Amino acid sequence: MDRHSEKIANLERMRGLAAYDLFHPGLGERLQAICRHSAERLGMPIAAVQAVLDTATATLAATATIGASDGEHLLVATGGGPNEFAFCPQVVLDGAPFIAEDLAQDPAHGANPIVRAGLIRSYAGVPLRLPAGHVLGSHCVMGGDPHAFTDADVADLTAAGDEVMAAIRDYELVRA
Amino acid sequence: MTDVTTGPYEMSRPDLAEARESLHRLYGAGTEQLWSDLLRQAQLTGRETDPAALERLIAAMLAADPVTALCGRSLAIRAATFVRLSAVHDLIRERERDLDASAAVPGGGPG
Repeated sequence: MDRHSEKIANLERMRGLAAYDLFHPGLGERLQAICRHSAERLGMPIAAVQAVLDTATATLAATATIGASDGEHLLVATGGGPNEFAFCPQVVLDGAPFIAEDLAQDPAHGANPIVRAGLIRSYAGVPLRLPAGHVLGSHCVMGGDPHAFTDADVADLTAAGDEVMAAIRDYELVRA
Repeated sequence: MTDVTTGPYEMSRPDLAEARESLHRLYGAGTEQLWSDLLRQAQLTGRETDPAALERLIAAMLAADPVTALCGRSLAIRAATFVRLSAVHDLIRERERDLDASAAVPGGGPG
Protein backbone atom coordinates (compact mmCIF):
# COMPACT_ATOMS: atom_id res chain seq x y z
CA MET A 1 0.00 0.00 0.00
CA ASP A 2 1.41 3.38 -1.01
CA ARG A 3 0.81 5.56 2.01
CA HIS A 4 1.89 8.57 -0.01
CA SER A 5 -0.83 8.23 -2.62
CA GLU A 6 -2.15 11.60 -3.78
CA LYS A 7 -5.58 10.03 -4.03
CA ILE A 8 -5.54 9.36 -0.29
CA ALA A 9 -3.61 12.39 1.00
CA ASN A 10 -5.88 14.66 -1.00
CA LEU A 11 -6.94 17.99 0.49
CA GLU A 12 -10.41 18.02 -1.09
CA ARG A 13 -11.09 14.47 0.09
CA MET A 14 -9.89 15.33 3.60
CA ARG A 15 -12.12 18.44 3.62
CA GLY A 16 -14.99 16.13 2.74
CA LEU A 17 -14.22 13.89 5.73
CA ALA A 18 -13.81 16.90 8.01
CA ALA A 19 -17.36 18.03 7.21
CA TYR A 20 -18.71 15.28 9.48
CA ASP A 21 -18.43 14.57 13.21
CA LEU A 22 -17.01 11.13 12.46
CA PHE A 23 -15.98 10.35 16.02
CA HIS A 24 -19.27 11.30 17.72
CA PRO A 25 -20.29 8.54 20.19
CA GLY A 26 -23.87 8.57 18.91
CA LEU A 27 -22.69 7.92 15.37
CA GLY A 28 -20.42 5.19 16.66
CA GLU A 29 -23.38 3.40 18.25
CA ARG A 30 -25.39 3.52 15.01
CA LEU A 31 -22.44 2.25 12.99
CA GLN A 32 -21.82 -0.48 15.53
CA ALA A 33 -25.33 -1.82 14.97
CA ILE A 34 -24.77 -1.88 11.21
CA CYS A 35 -21.45 -3.70 11.73
CA ARG A 36 -23.11 -6.37 13.90
CA HIS A 37 -25.73 -6.96 11.20
CA SER A 38 -23.13 -7.18 8.43
CA ALA A 39 -20.96 -9.63 10.40
CA GLU A 40 -23.97 -11.85 11.07
CA ARG A 41 -25.37 -11.60 7.54
CA LEU A 42 -22.06 -12.47 5.88
CA GLY A 43 -20.98 -14.94 8.57
CA MET A 44 -17.68 -13.17 9.19
CA PRO A 45 -15.83 -12.68 12.51
CA ILE A 46 -15.16 -8.96 12.03
CA ALA A 47 -17.12 -6.09 10.52
CA ALA A 48 -15.94 -2.48 10.59
CA VAL A 49 -16.50 1.03 9.35
CA GLN A 50 -13.18 2.69 8.68
CA ALA A 51 -12.30 6.21 7.63
CA VAL A 52 -9.13 6.44 5.59
CA LEU A 53 -7.26 9.55 6.76
CA ASP A 54 -4.11 10.99 5.15
CA THR A 55 -1.63 8.49 6.63
CA ALA A 56 -3.69 6.19 8.86
CA THR A 57 -7.01 4.39 8.85
CA ALA A 58 -9.33 5.16 11.77
CA THR A 59 -11.92 2.65 12.95
CA LEU A 60 -15.24 4.45 13.46
CA ALA A 61 -16.97 1.25 14.58
CA ALA A 62 -16.12 -2.41 14.64
CA THR A 63 -17.45 -5.65 15.98
CA ALA A 64 -15.99 -9.09 16.57
CA THR A 65 -18.55 -11.88 16.73
CA ILE A 66 -18.74 -14.65 19.30
CA GLY A 67 -16.22 -17.21 18.15
CA ALA A 68 -13.76 -14.66 16.81
CA SER A 69 -10.15 -15.49 17.63
CA ASP A 70 -8.05 -13.51 20.13
CA GLY A 71 -6.17 -11.96 17.22
CA GLU A 72 -9.41 -10.87 15.58
CA HIS A 73 -10.62 -9.33 18.85
CA LEU A 74 -7.25 -7.57 19.16
CA LEU A 75 -7.59 -6.01 15.71
CA VAL A 76 -11.05 -4.68 16.57
CA ALA A 77 -9.70 -3.13 19.78
CA THR A 78 -6.81 -1.24 18.19
CA GLY A 79 -8.84 1.66 16.77
CA GLY A 80 -7.04 1.73 13.43
CA GLY A 81 -3.60 1.48 11.95
CA PRO A 82 -1.16 2.98 9.46
CA ASN A 83 -2.48 3.06 5.90
CA GLU A 84 0.32 0.81 4.68
CA PHE A 85 -0.91 -1.95 7.05
CA ALA A 86 -4.63 -1.48 6.33
CA PHE A 87 -6.84 -2.88 3.56
CA CYS A 88 -9.48 -0.15 3.36
CA PRO A 89 -7.10 2.30 1.61
CA GLN A 90 -7.28 -0.10 -1.35
CA VAL A 91 -11.00 0.69 -1.59
CA VAL A 92 -10.22 4.42 -1.65
CA LEU A 93 -7.55 3.94 -4.31
CA ASP A 94 -9.83 1.78 -6.49
CA GLY A 95 -13.04 3.70 -5.79
CA ALA A 96 -14.68 0.28 -5.95
CA PRO A 97 -15.19 -2.80 -3.75
CA PHE A 98 -12.04 -4.69 -2.83
CA ILE A 99 -12.73 -8.38 -2.39
CA ALA A 100 -9.99 -10.80 -1.35
CA GLU A 101 -10.79 -14.46 -0.75
CA ASP A 102 -7.22 -15.06 0.45
CA LEU A 103 -5.01 -12.05 1.10
CA ALA A 104 -1.96 -14.32 1.39
CA GLN A 105 -2.31 -14.95 -2.35
CA ASP A 106 -2.86 -11.26 -3.18
CA PRO A 107 0.26 -9.71 -4.76
CA ALA A 108 -0.39 -6.29 -3.19
CA HIS A 109 -1.19 -7.51 0.33
CA GLY A 110 0.45 -10.93 0.78
CA ALA A 111 3.50 -9.39 2.48
CA ASN A 112 1.40 -7.35 4.91
CA PRO A 113 2.54 -8.30 8.44
CA ILE A 114 -1.10 -8.67 9.54
CA VAL A 115 -1.60 -11.25 6.79
CA ARG A 116 1.75 -12.96 7.40
CA ALA A 117 0.92 -13.22 11.10
CA GLY A 118 -2.30 -15.01 10.11
CA LEU A 119 -4.54 -12.44 11.79
CA ILE A 120 -6.47 -11.57 8.63
CA ARG A 121 -6.75 -13.70 5.50
CA SER A 122 -10.06 -12.66 3.92
CA TYR A 123 -11.49 -9.19 3.31
CA ALA A 124 -14.45 -7.60 1.56
CA GLY A 125 -14.87 -3.83 1.64
CA VAL A 126 -17.17 -1.43 -0.19
CA PRO A 127 -16.57 2.30 -0.70
CA LEU A 128 -18.30 4.90 1.46
CA ARG A 129 -18.72 7.74 -1.00
CA LEU A 130 -18.98 11.39 -0.01
CA PRO A 131 -21.48 13.64 -1.83
CA ALA A 132 -18.67 15.26 -3.84
CA GLY A 133 -17.55 11.84 -5.08
CA HIS A 134 -14.48 11.22 -2.94
CA VAL A 135 -14.33 7.98 -0.97
CA LEU A 136 -14.36 8.47 2.81
CA GLY A 137 -13.38 4.91 3.62
CA SER A 138 -14.94 1.50 3.67
CA HIS A 139 -17.53 -0.70 5.29
CA CYS A 140 -15.88 -4.07 5.45
CA VAL A 141 -15.86 -7.58 6.83
CA MET A 142 -12.70 -9.56 7.60
CA GLY A 143 -11.66 -12.92 8.93
CA GLY A 144 -8.64 -14.94 9.93
CA ASP A 145 -9.37 -17.71 7.39
CA PRO A 146 -9.73 -17.63 3.59
CA HIS A 147 -13.35 -17.05 2.62
CA ALA A 148 -15.19 -16.95 -0.72
CA PHE A 149 -17.60 -14.02 -1.03
CA THR A 150 -20.66 -14.27 -3.28
CA ASP A 151 -22.22 -11.52 -5.38
CA ALA A 152 -25.08 -11.52 -2.86
CA ASP A 153 -22.57 -10.88 -0.06
CA VAL A 154 -21.17 -7.88 -1.89
CA ALA A 155 -24.69 -6.60 -2.62
CA ASP A 156 -25.62 -6.90 1.06
CA LEU A 157 -22.42 -5.15 2.12
CA THR A 158 -23.09 -2.37 -0.42
CA ALA A 159 -26.62 -1.90 0.98
CA ALA A 160 -25.15 -1.74 4.50
CA GLY A 161 -22.62 0.81 3.22
CA ASP A 162 -25.53 2.97 2.06
CA GLU A 163 -26.94 2.76 5.61
CA VAL A 164 -23.54 3.79 6.96
CA MET A 165 -23.45 6.88 4.76
CA ALA A 166 -27.02 7.78 5.71
CA ALA A 167 -25.98 7.68 9.39
CA ILE A 168 -22.83 9.72 8.71
CA ARG A 169 -24.82 12.36 6.83
CA ASP A 170 -26.88 12.89 10.00
CA TYR A 171 -23.67 14.03 11.69
CA GLU A 172 -22.70 16.72 9.20
CA LEU A 173 -21.08 19.64 10.98
CA VAL A 174 -22.78 23.01 10.59
CA ARG A 175 -20.37 25.47 9.02
CA ALA A 176 -19.94 28.73 10.96
CA MET B 1 10.33 -0.92 25.23
CA THR B 2 12.36 -0.59 22.04
CA ASP B 3 13.92 2.87 21.97
CA VAL B 4 14.94 3.11 18.36
CA THR B 5 13.87 5.28 15.48
CA THR B 6 13.37 2.37 13.13
CA GLY B 7 11.06 -0.28 14.52
CA PRO B 8 9.76 -3.65 13.42
CA TYR B 9 8.05 -4.10 10.05
CA GLU B 10 10.05 -1.17 8.69
CA MET B 11 7.87 1.33 10.49
CA SER B 12 9.68 4.37 11.82
CA ARG B 13 8.72 6.01 15.07
CA PRO B 14 6.60 9.00 13.99
CA ASP B 15 8.32 12.30 14.76
CA LEU B 16 8.03 16.00 14.00
CA ALA B 17 9.72 15.56 10.63
CA GLU B 18 7.12 12.98 9.57
CA ALA B 19 4.34 15.25 10.80
CA ARG B 20 5.65 18.18 8.78
CA GLU B 21 6.11 16.00 5.69
CA SER B 22 2.54 14.72 5.98
CA LEU B 23 1.13 18.23 6.28
CA HIS B 24 3.21 19.41 3.34
CA ARG B 25 1.89 16.56 1.20
CA LEU B 26 -1.62 17.75 1.95
CA TYR B 27 -1.32 21.54 2.06
CA GLY B 28 1.67 22.14 -0.22
CA ALA B 29 2.96 25.71 -0.06
CA GLY B 30 0.41 26.59 2.61
CA THR B 31 2.17 24.38 5.13
CA GLU B 32 4.78 26.85 6.42
CA GLN B 33 2.41 29.24 8.19
CA LEU B 34 0.38 26.34 9.59
CA TRP B 35 3.56 24.64 10.80
CA SER B 36 4.75 27.80 12.55
CA ASP B 37 1.36 28.21 14.23
CA LEU B 38 1.31 24.58 15.40
CA LEU B 39 4.84 24.80 16.80
CA ARG B 40 3.95 27.97 18.67
CA GLN B 41 0.79 26.38 20.09
CA ALA B 42 2.78 23.32 21.17
CA GLN B 43 5.68 25.46 22.46
CA LEU B 44 8.17 23.57 20.29
CA THR B 45 11.12 24.71 18.18
CA GLY B 46 10.58 22.01 15.52
CA ARG B 47 14.00 20.49 16.21
CA GLU B 48 12.84 18.17 19.00
CA THR B 49 13.03 14.44 18.29
CA ASP B 50 11.51 12.92 21.42
CA PRO B 51 8.06 11.22 21.59
CA ALA B 52 6.83 13.81 24.10
CA ALA B 53 7.32 16.55 21.50
CA LEU B 54 5.18 14.62 19.03
CA GLU B 55 2.48 14.23 21.66
CA ARG B 56 2.41 18.01 22.15
CA LEU B 57 2.28 18.60 18.42
CA ILE B 58 -0.58 16.10 18.06
CA ALA B 59 -2.49 17.92 20.81
CA ALA B 60 -2.02 21.20 18.93
CA MET B 61 -3.15 19.58 15.68
CA LEU B 62 -6.27 18.11 17.29
CA ALA B 63 -7.20 21.62 18.47
CA ALA B 64 -6.60 23.19 15.04
CA ASP B 65 -8.93 23.34 12.00
CA PRO B 66 -10.92 20.16 11.22
CA VAL B 67 -8.64 18.89 8.43
CA THR B 68 -5.48 19.39 10.51
CA ALA B 69 -7.27 17.68 13.40
CA LEU B 70 -7.82 14.61 11.20
CA CYS B 71 -4.10 14.65 10.34
CA GLY B 72 -3.42 14.76 14.08
CA ARG B 73 -5.57 11.66 14.54
CA SER B 74 -3.57 9.95 11.80
CA LEU B 75 -0.32 10.70 13.59
CA ALA B 76 -1.74 9.54 16.92
CA ILE B 77 -2.80 6.22 15.34
CA ARG B 78 0.64 5.78 13.78
CA ALA B 79 2.39 6.56 17.07
CA ALA B 80 0.16 4.14 19.01
CA THR B 81 0.77 1.41 16.42
CA PHE B 82 4.53 1.90 16.67
CA VAL B 83 4.40 1.51 20.45
CA ARG B 84 2.30 -1.68 20.14
CA LEU B 85 4.57 -3.17 17.48
CA SER B 86 7.66 -2.33 19.51
CA ALA B 87 6.18 -4.05 22.56
CA VAL B 88 5.42 -7.19 20.52
CA HIS B 89 8.90 -7.03 18.97
CA ASP B 90 10.49 -6.80 22.44
CA LEU B 91 8.41 -9.73 23.68
CA ILE B 92 9.51 -11.91 20.77
CA ARG B 93 13.18 -10.95 21.26
CA GLU B 94 12.92 -11.70 24.98
CA ARG B 95 11.51 -15.18 24.31
CA GLU B 96 14.23 -15.80 21.71
CA ARG B 97 16.89 -14.85 24.29
CA ASP B 98 15.28 -17.17 26.86
CA LEU B 99 15.30 -20.03 24.37
CA ASP B 100 18.94 -19.35 23.46
CA ALA B 101 19.94 -19.25 27.13
CA SER B 102 18.05 -22.47 27.79
CA ALA B 103 19.75 -24.21 24.86
CA ALA B 104 23.19 -23.05 26.09
CA VAL B 105 22.77 -24.75 29.48
CA PRO B 106 23.95 -28.41 29.43
CA GLY B 107 20.87 -30.53 29.52
CA GLY B 108 18.72 -27.48 28.89
CA GLY B 109 16.35 -26.79 26.03
CA PRO B 110 13.47 -28.80 24.74
CA GLY B 111 13.89 -32.49 25.13
